Amino acid sequence: MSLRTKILWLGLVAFLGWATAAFYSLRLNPEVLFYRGLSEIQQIWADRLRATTATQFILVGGSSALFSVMPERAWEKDRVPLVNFGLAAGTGPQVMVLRGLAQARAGDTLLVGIEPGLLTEDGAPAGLGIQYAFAMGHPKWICDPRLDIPAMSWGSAILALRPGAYHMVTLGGKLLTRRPLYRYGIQDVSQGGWIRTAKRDFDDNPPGHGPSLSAWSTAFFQSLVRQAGEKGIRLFYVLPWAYCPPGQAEKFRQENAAFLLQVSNFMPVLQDDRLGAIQEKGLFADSSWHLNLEGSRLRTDVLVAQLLGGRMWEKADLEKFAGRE
Amino acid sequence: MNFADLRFWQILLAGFLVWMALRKLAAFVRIPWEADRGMLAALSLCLLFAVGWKTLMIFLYVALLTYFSLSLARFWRVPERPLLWVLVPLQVAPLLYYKYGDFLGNGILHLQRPELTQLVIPVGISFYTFQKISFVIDTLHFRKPIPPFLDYLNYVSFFPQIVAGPIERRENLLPQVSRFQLHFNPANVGAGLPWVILGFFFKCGLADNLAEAFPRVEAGNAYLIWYANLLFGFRIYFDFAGYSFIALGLARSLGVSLTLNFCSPYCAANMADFWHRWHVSLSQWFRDYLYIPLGGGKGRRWWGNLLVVFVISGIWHGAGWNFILWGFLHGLFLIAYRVSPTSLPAGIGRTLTLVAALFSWLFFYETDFQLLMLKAASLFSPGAYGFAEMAGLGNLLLKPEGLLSLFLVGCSTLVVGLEAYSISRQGEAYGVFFRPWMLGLMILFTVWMAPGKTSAFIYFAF
Repeated sequence: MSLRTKILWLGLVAFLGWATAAFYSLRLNPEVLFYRGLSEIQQIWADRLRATTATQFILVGGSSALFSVMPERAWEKDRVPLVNFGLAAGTGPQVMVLRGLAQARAGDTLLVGIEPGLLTEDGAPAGLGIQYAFAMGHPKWICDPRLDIPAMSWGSAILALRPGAYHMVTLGGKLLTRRPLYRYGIQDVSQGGWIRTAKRDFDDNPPGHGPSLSAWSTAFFQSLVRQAGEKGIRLFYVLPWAYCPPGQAEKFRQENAAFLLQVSNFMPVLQDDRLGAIQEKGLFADSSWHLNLEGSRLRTDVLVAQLLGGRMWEKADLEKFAGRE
Repeated sequence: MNFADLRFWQILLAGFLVWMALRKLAAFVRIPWEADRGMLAALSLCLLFAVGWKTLMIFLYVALLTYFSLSLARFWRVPERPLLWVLVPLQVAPLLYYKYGDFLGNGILHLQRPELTQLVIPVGISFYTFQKISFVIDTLHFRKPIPPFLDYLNYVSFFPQIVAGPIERRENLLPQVSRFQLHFNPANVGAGLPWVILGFFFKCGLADNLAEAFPRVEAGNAYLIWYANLLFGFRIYFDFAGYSFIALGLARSLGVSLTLNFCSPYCAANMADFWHRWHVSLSQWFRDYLYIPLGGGKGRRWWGNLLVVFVISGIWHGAGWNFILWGFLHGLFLIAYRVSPTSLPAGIGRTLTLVAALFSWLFFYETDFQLLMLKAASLFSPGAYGFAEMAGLGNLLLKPEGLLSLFLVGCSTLVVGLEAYSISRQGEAYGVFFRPWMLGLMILFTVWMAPGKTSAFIYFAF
């Protein structure tokens, strides 16, 4: 093989390899397909509400949002126009929030319910977030987010349209054991975009997170507050609920209070005296962040009461809980 | 200057386009073009600047200090020994400050200076400082001429190897960059490209995935600790060798030969052999500038010389007691190898070397000293090898991350096996990877399997 042929052949292999990986990621990846389908259902609900009410509450976050808040219940019981735009944690804060911002109009309220762990780490989008944004037809959420945070270059984003070993190995395991290709199915999604699962297996490990907002999240919040202000959108932070073994709840609450204290520098934080630590395991489904039907009912009712009551945390109270008095 | 970052390649491509355009322009206006070496230096400095202006400034401080001190000393006929006593500490000062400031100031002297904990180690400082020290010593000791400044600048700043080696000696790299000319030579590209592909396969296909699959392991379960050591051992090899191969391939594409920094270290027959195959340029540096001046393997204190060299090698790798212990351990392993009365059968020798290397990696990745001691003790405790502990390993392997790690251990073992096969058939460790179908497979594996996030090169922190 001549050198020229060899280089051409290797270039062709690289291109075809990338092209098939990108096709798989956008069109065949069961995880991306599920979140696309879920997003369509959530969008239909949001549009239906928009036709009925002038303003709405849009909840964005990871799977803790997706598995906890029932928009139908909030509407049918209390006439609160709530939209659940929860996604997978792997999509990252940038994609979650930009999707919510794209839906929001002046007068709406964006409820930022992103898990603390995602905000105490570098939140730059990766893997699933990039694939989801491209699959949804919104690559600009990644490459031109119009927020004062570093945008990923188009080249890097396009090169990231690949499945990765973790995905391929776990997919192989599912194929071998004839299990569903993705843990959840679109049939599990309610018309409001909330999801429930019958699965009940998770470790008792206490959920934890880093001590402070990452530099990325700080810049992200600063920019988000400015942009929301310009568009006339209100911002509230909503702390997700997580299962915490009884012995560790106090420590977790203290961590959460310290975290909320930092978030409150950017936006009001809805007051919830549980401070995110729930000790009843019976309210949870298949992870310490995923509520079951009973838990979701309770969570939705509490959230609706918070929204109607409009009570926010005072810094002094958070300082007390964080042990900084 | 991270080869796994697209930005590096974009800047490099832009740099070459400007370079080519200027050459064309010079030809058009009929000016003889003799600026290739200047363009090479400019490109290298631009790439360093892209990492950060502070990185460039610190690099320039060491580079200019070295060159002009040597030039002035030669002009004033300053004797070699006093010059070395003054110049080498000045060269090492930024390295000491940035890399060891926190460890020495807060860890040992208890100065309680919080600003020292914030220090970020400038990229490549350990590598280029050692290269410049070797330049000073070689120039003075062998009475070599001081090269023209531009050639010197290209020698110390040559972009493929500046941030993570190989640490090149003046007799290898300086003559090559002195006669450097940019021209597209298909043979050079043909020789360099396979190394770049192999490097990306090692780094992005294997090492980055191993980083994602690395488990958090507590003390008390010896199986889990050994498994973590195995994963880390594969990861650090593929990470650093991958980087070195990309550097080698890039340099070769430009017609410059660099030292092969890795040569299938996990196929080593004994510990001495391991150090002939692992980070070769650093081993040679320590041999020539420390071990031999201390007396080398002769005399009654040879074992002391070995320990000193390996403890300093440990300190070079990182500021922490764990690194010092890691170096000390390797010193002990080598002493044990030298004093062992009989040579072991090849298979047993290889196995023992592999086990020793894997054991020592615990001291490399575990930076919490208390936990490190507990984990090391677990490895020697029969109670840590019970059925419950084995079940713990089984539980880990049944989780998705565990499955990934098992898959990667399989792939890594296959790669090391292919290296052994290549050595036995072709006499070189990586020849088998350069067959066209193997190159194609490695490209496909990298494209499909590399994780979404690239981990930083481990050795960037050194």
